[in-house]
Amino acid sequence: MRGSTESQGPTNKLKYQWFRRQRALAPYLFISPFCIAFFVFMAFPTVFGFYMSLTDWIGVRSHKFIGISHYMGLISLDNTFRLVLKNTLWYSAASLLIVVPLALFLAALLNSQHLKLREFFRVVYFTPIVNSAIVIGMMFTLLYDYEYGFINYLFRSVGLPSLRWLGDENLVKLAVIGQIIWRWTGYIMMYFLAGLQGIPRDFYEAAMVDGATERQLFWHITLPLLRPVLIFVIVIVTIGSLQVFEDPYILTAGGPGDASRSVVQYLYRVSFEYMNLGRGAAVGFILFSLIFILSAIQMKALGIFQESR
Amino acid sequence: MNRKILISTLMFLVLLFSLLNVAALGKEKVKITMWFHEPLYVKFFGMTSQEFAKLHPEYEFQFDIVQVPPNEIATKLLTALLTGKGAPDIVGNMIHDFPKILRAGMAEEGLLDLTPYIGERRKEFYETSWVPFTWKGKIYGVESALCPVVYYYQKPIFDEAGLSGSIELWDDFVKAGLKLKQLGKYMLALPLDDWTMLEMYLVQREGNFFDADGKAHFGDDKVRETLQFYSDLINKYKIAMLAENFYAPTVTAAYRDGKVAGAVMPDWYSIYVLKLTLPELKGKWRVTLLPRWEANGPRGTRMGGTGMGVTLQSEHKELAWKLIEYSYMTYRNQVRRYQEICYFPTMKAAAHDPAVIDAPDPYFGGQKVGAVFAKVADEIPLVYNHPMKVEAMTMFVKDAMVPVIRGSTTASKALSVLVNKIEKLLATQK
Repeated sequence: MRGSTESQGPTNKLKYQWFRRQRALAPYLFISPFCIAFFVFMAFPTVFGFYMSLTDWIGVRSHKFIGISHYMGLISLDNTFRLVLKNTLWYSAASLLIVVPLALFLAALLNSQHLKLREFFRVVYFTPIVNSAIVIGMMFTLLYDYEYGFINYLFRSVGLPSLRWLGDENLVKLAVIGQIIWRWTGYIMMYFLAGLQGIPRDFYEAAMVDGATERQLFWHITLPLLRPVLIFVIVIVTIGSLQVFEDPYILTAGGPGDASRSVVQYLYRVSFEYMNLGRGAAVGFILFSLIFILSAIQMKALGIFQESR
Repeated sequence: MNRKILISTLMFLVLLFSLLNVAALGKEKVKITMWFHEPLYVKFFGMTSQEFAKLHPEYEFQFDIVQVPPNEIATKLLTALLTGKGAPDIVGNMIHDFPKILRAGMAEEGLLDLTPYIGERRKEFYETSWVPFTWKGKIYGVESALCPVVYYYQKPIFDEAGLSGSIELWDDFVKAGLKLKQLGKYMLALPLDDWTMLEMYLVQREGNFFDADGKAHFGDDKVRETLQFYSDLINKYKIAMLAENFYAPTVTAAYRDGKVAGAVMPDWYSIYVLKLTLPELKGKWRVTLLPRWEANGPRGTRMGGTGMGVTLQSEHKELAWKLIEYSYMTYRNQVRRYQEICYFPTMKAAAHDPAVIDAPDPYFGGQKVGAVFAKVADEIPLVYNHPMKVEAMTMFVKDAMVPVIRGSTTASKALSVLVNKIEKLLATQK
């Protein structure tokens, strides 16, 4: 009897220890799939990409470490990179200064109690984003065409000359911006609309009782209460617009020359057409750094992650 | 009794199934995957692969023919070759994508050298069909068409202007264009930033951006004069309609409206664009030889092309090669390719077959279009590829072609600056 009690003791102790270990390990096991996926598909490629950007990696040829030569070359010598960066900043500025305010304005209109057929208008404004980018690109190519485009038809009908929207190095950027505005305003509008619908009507009623005008309601109630949504939209629009690819690619393929090419298009060209994977990785990291810095500045300026006093 | 009938029927079916499969016993199963950007290749190889299978009953073939979008096929192929997985057995490399393959080092390390397989049969074909897919003396692709360039024109428009379809020199072409201009029409459409269109004119003058030794010739007089002429057609003589995208619906609309009378394009343009998008203009188009640059000069040039190659990842390289050889290097299929998909034969004998040169084409008012192509087949100059060609031509378009056409500089000034940039670029080549 004494022997059986002693033999049960160590076994129970082992079982208890294993149970405790399991309890300690369980959280890590549950989060491990995400961590493994993150490491394999995000962390490792990012680190390896940075390594590639420090080498002269061309296709399958042997490569050697060249330090920051690609970065120096891109920033100081590569006129094309500077041009595509300027193009991208134009697209980003247009997105922030035109798309966001326009989306807010449309959301405010659609949120109005006096508007009839509100659901219809919501569908109309949201439809562009659910359409295929290729279809939209083809449509705008036809709209902008010099000989047959509808825009130039309108110009000619009022006595104005036709413009080479897709053939002029300056006008082509406006053409791309026009497509961006048409395509994305409705999508951003939906964020604002959701935010506006979350503002309790009591605030407006109380303000109206106090004699507030529509403009005062908008500036002193709507905007402050919409601030979290506004900040979110500004940040995602900045990040998204700096990575623009589809709109200029489908409309103009980056042309004429490189007049409408974006940074991501240039990255694709350098990596997969010139096969200069090292330089392409460097372009990617410069873009990443730019997005990171701009996002950090925005978040600081807009007071994100600051503790309220 | 019913049970006996059921069992007998089942046994009969099993026996029948076994007998039907007995031929499969001992057959090697072969799967051949093919990637092409063009539906016409998918169609043609779809036909020839079935015939090929019947010619080789010792194998049980499965063919997987995939159409990959033109702007994706090179990237997909390079990704597969670089990673060592997923490449097809047979791939159609477009002529202007082949430099990417060279640049990545994947010609030698990714594609089968077809030179020993082609052997002496090389002489049966026009040399211009081998050169664009040749690197360091090795051939990596069998050309899909000779791609001879002609001038397609709409006869009713020419008749209205009192023009005949016979144009001797490019100066005469300009004069004809000026007559059309008086009627508010253009002689042709030209793109703003597509260097392949300009290269046609340069090659006809026996000029090249790169030569056989890989040397660049961007500063040559021929390049300068060709670029200036191209720009003059648009800006000085105003007989060419400037198109932002030559393959956009607006150019075909211009043909349909009679605003643009014709096109300087190769054989595949007839099926790829005219017949496909302008069926209502059937019978109105004709084909004529290109004008010469000088008296007794050549009329031949080429544009485009696709080289059918075998990847080194293929587990059935010999069979893949034999399929390409059967489909593209037999006399019968060279002629049939022209009949089925209008791609002119690259085989010298087949190019003059009566089925090619004597066949009237209803779309061209019964004209024997093949005979026109055959007239210039012998005088198409060679076009060379180079690993840096993609990057060099991008520079050419941005720094020379677009500014010259837009009128912001002259060909001389633009090219004198470009030459230095190209030299620096080539110096970085590994």
